Amino acid sequence: MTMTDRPPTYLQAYAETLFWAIERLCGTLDEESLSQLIGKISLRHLVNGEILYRQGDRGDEMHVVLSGRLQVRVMSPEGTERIVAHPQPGDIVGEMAVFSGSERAATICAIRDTMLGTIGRQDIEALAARFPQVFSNVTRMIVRRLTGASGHIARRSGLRSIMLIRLHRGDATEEFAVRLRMSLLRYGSVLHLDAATASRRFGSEQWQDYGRHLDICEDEHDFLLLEADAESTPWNRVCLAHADKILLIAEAACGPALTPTEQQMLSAPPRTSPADLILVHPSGAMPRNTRNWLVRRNIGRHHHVRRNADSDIERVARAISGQSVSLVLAGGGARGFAHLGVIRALGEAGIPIDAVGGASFGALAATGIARGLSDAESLEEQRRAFTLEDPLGDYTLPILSLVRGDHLERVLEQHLPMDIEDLWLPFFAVSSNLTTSQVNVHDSGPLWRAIRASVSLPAILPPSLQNGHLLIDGGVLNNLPVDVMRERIRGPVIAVDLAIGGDDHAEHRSIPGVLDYLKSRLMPGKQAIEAPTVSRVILQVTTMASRREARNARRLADLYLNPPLGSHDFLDWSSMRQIADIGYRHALPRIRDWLREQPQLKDPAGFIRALQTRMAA
Amino acid sequence: MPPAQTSPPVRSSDTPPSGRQPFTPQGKIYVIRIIYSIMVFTMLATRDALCAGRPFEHGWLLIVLAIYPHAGHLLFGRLDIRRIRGRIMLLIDGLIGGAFIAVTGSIDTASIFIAAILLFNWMVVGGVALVVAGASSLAAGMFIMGAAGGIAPPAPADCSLPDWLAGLFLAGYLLIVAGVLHRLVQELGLHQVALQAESDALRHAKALAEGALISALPSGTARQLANHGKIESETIDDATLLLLRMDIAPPRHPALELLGAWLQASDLILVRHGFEMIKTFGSRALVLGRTATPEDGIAAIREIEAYFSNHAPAGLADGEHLLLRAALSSGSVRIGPVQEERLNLELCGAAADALAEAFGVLAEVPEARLVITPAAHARMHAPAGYVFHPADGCLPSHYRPAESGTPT
Repeated sequence: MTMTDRPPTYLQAYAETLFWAIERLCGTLDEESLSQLIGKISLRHLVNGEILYRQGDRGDEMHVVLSGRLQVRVMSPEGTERIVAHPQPGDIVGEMAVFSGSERAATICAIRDTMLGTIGRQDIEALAARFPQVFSNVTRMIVRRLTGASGHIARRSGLRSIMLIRLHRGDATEEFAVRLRMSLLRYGSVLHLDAATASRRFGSEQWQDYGRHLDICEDEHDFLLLEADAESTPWNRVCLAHADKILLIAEAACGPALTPTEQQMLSAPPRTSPADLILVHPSGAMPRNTRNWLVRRNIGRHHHVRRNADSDIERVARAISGQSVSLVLAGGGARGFAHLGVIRALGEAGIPIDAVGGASFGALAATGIARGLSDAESLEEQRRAFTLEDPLGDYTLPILSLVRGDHLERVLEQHLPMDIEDLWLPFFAVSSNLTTSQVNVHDSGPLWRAIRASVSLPAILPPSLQNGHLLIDGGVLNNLPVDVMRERIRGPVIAVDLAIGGDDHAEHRSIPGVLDYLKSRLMPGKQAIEAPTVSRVILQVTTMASRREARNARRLADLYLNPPLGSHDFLDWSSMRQIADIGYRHALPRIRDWLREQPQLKDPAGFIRALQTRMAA
Repeated sequence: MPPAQTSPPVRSSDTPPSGRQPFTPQGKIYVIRIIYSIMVFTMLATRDALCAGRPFEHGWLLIVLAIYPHAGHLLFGRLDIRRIRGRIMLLIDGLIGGAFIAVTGSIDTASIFIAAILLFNWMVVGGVALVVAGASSLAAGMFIMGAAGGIAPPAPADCSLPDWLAGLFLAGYLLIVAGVLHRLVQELGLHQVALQAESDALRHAKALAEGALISALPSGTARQLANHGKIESETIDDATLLLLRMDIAPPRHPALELLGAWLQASDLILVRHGFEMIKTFGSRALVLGRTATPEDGIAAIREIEAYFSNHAPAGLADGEHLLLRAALSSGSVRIGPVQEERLNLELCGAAADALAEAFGVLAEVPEARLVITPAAHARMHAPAGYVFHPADGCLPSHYRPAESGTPT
């Protein structure tokens, strides 16, 4: 096959992409076969948001993406939908159902205006009968896709064209756009266009040709930033049709009301993926009432950014490029102080954290970093909370629970008065829903209520009643929710487990008597006997159900840490510093080893910025 | 926690703020001594007045008890109790106590109480040495009192009031001491927490400083420093070197902000293509690719050029644009510190010399935008599209892109 072969007129604009796709499918074809095959291909245009087919549909056609971008979503048996790929020009979709005769395995929709080359089942069968290599090529393609070795699943992070809509036309949003362009350079080449520069670059051609020009630009660059006009213009419509993702950039100080630009945008057809909101805060301000911004708009994710804070803008750049570093922290009572040591080690290794989540005490530890506290501040806050305020000190008759929980609620409300939406970093906590026997993910609303539900260890604390549901400790069903993080954030995930039976597994030869156990612990010179104490057994029982999930989480995590905390029980609040230190010492060398394989994760300028902040303070 | 989220060390202070001025250590000792003298005074006065019926039997001793804490504080109060001279008052306490014991009798409850608290105080403040010295002063006090004939006849056996008083004082004293010790332990705990926090903060600051130092170095050299703790010279056989120069057209001197924007973007692009900036001088940058090929270098140059052609940095006036000019060489090079105290790295070797010569071509040939040394050209996988220019006078032989002078 050569590039001199001429496809029919209606396909000529996509000749290169088409030839490439056919070569992948059939190998080298003679001219006659090629022209026969091309003659069978029909064009199909999808507008932004249109669904090509749904999971479970019958599959009679296979498609080659000629321009635009698709999104592949898979519904799990539990009912949660996951985005698994973004096929782009040259990719083939739908071949699995056509060749296997099975139902469609995923739902595919266009996330921008898309042109497809479509071939029917009969034509494919005729082609395969004539060229047996088609079978082996397709099989190889499917296997690679399923194993994630290549194909569009491997390129799932592919957000390439990002439309920037500045809701407020001040310096802050303009600076953000320029700094974002610079930050994206770390991950690939960038082209930033607005209506004026596009017009200079593409000439005064018709607006409908701009899509083709943008396709070419996209081939030449890793990221296209398309900056919208303030008014409704043809350029804005081109950007809307072409963009994979819309970023709304707003000055937080200006208030959450819908701007005229947005109102015009809302009249456009709904998009497949909601826009992301960037709230630029003045230096020194804290996010407040973010919910008011979100309820007025269809927003996927929101990012809080401090004006002139490069670290915040780089966080957005990592989110766009699919390189966000997420931290998932397991529950484990006082053993969770190890998380603070791990967080310190991550800081010292120069790894930024872009999103946090966890279960039980892991969720509580995650709140510190989500609020922008350093590990030292978090440790000090928790030392005060657990030693001075004694949140678990309101013991009661052990009928409903061992502790009444009122004191804990007061302490949580006092220390965590904000909404989850107002946290600097994306955050979630998980709890176990006794009413539905499912995992509840708390990613909005009052932070203290989410934590109250997530730390409600059965028997110790009463369940938390929220919206008619009884919620208990998240660790009961999913103590290390890496899967929840994976569904939300693209990029490497660092998981910190506190499982007993990991590195610090103790061998029990027999169960000692209480007196023998106490003697071994209290008498000097005697070797301490390891025994399954009440607290240990409670902890293990409550997390037993989530052990299988934890093994899965270990597989899903890019870096799995399990500090050896053998001698520290989950009520050992007095040993917080020692536990944090174990976490730190365990994590630092492992993080450094891991970082050697992932040098792009390191933020070298972060050290300089941190030192400057420190010296200024 | 990313480095950016670092905050200053947390100071631990759980004591609520109070408007009361705290006592100085000398002030505390002064108060304790007044309490001590009041206790002795009360016991002696009670014994003399109520048991013996002779209220002024030891009037002069009562006067001494009333005066000595204040006089002692005036004379010695400013001395540091940790020094020998500062302990003179403790020995005077012993003399007074000895006099009291001589008066009340050594097996009297009040005497035993006074002796016990004196010994306790001495042990706490000065250890065994002060106990020995204090016991001597106690004996001296007893001796002086005996010699002065101040020993009174024993109190009637049915007069138990002094014993009750002594018991009461003992209980009160023990409570006060226990309270003081409790507060001391608490303060020590808080102090330990604060020290720990400070130590953590220092350790963190040290890690940040090390990180900052390593970040400031070229990545390869930083790796060497991080892994081996020192920077050693090394030879790279197939290095690719770039010498970049950014000009403004029409020509003018660039401002610092413009240089900053140029270097920042260029650095990010170069790193992605496998290069590290070794040093910069004004609008020039010396760049090393340890494993990068000449094609990688040309791709990086193209991307930098395209980036600034598409996005004019702030600081350029209308009608101005940036012009990137570059020399590229390849071959063996040696990199290492030439001034360790300044972490000043330098490059030398055949490839570095060839690069300097090629860069000279840019100065002599205004239309040249990219100059490639013959060695680098020989390493290229797709060497077509570049025209050979033989050596001419002071200009070395080199290759330049075929069309116009631009790398693209």
